Amino acid sequence: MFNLAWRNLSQNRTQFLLGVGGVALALLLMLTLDALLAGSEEDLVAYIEQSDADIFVAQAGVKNMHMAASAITWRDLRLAEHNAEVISASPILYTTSVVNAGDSDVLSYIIGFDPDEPLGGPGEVAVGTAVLDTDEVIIDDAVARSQGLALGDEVEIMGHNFTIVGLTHGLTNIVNSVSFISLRDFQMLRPGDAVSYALLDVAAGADPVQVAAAINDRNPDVLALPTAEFSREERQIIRDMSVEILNIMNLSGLLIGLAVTALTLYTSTLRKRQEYGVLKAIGARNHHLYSVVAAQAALSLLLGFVAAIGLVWLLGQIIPLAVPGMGLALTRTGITRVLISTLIIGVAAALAPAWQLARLDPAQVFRS
Amino acid sequence: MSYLAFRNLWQQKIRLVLSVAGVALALMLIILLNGFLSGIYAQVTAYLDNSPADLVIAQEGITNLLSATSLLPAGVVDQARGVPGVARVTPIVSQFTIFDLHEEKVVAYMVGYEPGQGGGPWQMKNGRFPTSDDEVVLDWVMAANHSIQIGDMLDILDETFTVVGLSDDTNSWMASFFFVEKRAAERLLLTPDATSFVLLTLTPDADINTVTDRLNRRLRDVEIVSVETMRQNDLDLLVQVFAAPLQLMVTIAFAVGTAILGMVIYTATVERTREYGVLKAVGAKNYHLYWLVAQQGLVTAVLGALIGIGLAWLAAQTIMYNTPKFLIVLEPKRVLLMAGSGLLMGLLAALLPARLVARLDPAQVFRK
Repeated sequence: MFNLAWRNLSQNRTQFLLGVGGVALALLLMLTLDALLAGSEEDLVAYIEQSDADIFVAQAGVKNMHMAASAITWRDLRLAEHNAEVISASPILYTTSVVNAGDSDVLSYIIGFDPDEPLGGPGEVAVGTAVLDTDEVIIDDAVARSQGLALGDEVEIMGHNFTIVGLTHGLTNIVNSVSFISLRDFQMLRPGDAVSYALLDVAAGADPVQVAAAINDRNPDVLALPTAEFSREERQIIRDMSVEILNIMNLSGLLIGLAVTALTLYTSTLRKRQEYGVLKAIGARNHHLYSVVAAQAALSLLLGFVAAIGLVWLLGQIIPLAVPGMGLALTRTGITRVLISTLIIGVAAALAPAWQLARLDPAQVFRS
Repeated sequence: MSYLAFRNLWQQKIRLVLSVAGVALALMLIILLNGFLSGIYAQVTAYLDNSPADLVIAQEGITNLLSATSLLPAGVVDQARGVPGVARVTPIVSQFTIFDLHEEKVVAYMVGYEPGQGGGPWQMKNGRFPTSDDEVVLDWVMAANHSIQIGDMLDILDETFTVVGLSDDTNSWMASFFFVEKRAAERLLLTPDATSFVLLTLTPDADINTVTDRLNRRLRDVEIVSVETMRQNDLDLLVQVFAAPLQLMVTIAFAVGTAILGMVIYTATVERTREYGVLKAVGAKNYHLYWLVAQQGLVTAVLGALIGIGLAWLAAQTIMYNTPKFLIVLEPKRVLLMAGSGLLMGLLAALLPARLVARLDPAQVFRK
């Protein structure tokens, strides 16, 4: 049955490629948006997850960095530090601003950190140094590449010129990048008594969940979250903002995939009408013929699915080179969703040809 | 030739319906995606679009309203008031905030304004403006989505506010606006007496360039930007964010539509090989046959485009009815352009079968 199904499908190579290609592209529609969003999630939490911090302390009620503002006092920071299991509490100042490089503006989180503190700066500097002096900045290599910048070049942040002394990697997402200046420079640009967040390192063997709970109990003006939970809260922003659009895209992809698969099966069934008539004439039952159609559907969808996965992977390699910060990441949820859609398409698309075969009169086939 | 093309298509009605459906769905998706984007652009510039201001004063280096956080030096408001040509000075404090409502992250843009000085909601659906520093006006769509009514309490950065009004035309898919008194915003952000932006309305006879020069002479460490420029900067940054993903999805949808059309036209051509051979044998030139094939592609594409436009309009109305936070703007010129891409699909889809027909040897056809 599968052998017959394969031969039916592949007899004409061009039609086969167009059919499988159409299915692959329809499934690609569903996979791509999910992969784009998953890629954005990864990029969004890169600073948090690369920070080596065990706990993030923010203003009470603040559970995010992206599109959020937080302000805690130095007293709040010292209170958090005065916990037996906290080794260090490093302050950062944070804002969203624009890095101006020549004619272009790049939206960026600006993080002011103290180079003498163990936490707060970039997790890793790919090129140059992480030790910042006055009027020095570390930017992401994706921004440097897109704006034609290198170590030693100058950029303008909040009206002040900074010299690039280091480049990070992987801290640019589709919306913005992350740039680092010294805490002192930040305070000069934006005077104030508060800090934005405190990054805590806890002792080996200590449970960050319990330490965070203790900090929250002692000081109701702050919210301490273990890094894993803080990162989860951050990822949720992307998911909650995009769930409806994702549903619309999935539905569109499902319907288009259905149309393409139904077309492929219908066309190949029609082409083999005489052969099916012969089979019926020599005793094949309808369910035998349905099984051939079902096998064709399964084969073309399986090949389309594999091709779609391959295309997403390929796009994931090419696109970041062309559009810095735009990454694609395949997720289990996305693949599962597309698999289920593929099953639905397969069952629904086989209906038309099944109806064709049920109505097929062998005598008519021979007569025509 | 046209009659022949039509008959070729019409002979297999189910195939025609499936192919038109596939093309229509692909074009519907392209039109919808562009409509989404146009809607986002219209929504996010709503604050500046509805402000009577002519100029905006921002922190040095900041020329966007929504994308970057601005904090002005002390005294800017009073200094701006004294400049000839300035009729009204409206200071605001603004910041993105994230609500956690029913376990969903809801991004919103807080505007703290001084009652009586403007800068607040420009259209109310229900209720009143805030008259104390623990009252808030929410966007009605956001409120409706989360079953929030006037009189309900809402936590903003761990402080409790009473919802006293619901504003209209302040909603967007990305983030809705909400309004509090300026002193409330200062307190929430731990920035007493702070101002993010100052909106300036000029006297009717004032020249904007002259007033801008005066302001530049008087004020230090600020940016003075026309409302139009700031609005455009916000749009440009949005375009930067959304353009690449949009182009990717549109390209895939276009490729799907072309693959569907290609499969149909190619199959129809293969089935008619003998008839094309006969036509060639009786003297039809290749370009006659190309045109015959192309017409089939174009007819299917045109039908698909017309239905696709209808489907896009219907889908847009359905989506906006069910999810009011989305605004999908279908601009006639852009819709026609997108539909025109359907014709391109038809022409591209005809290329393969055109090659087939060109290589056709009438003698071979008769020998089979």
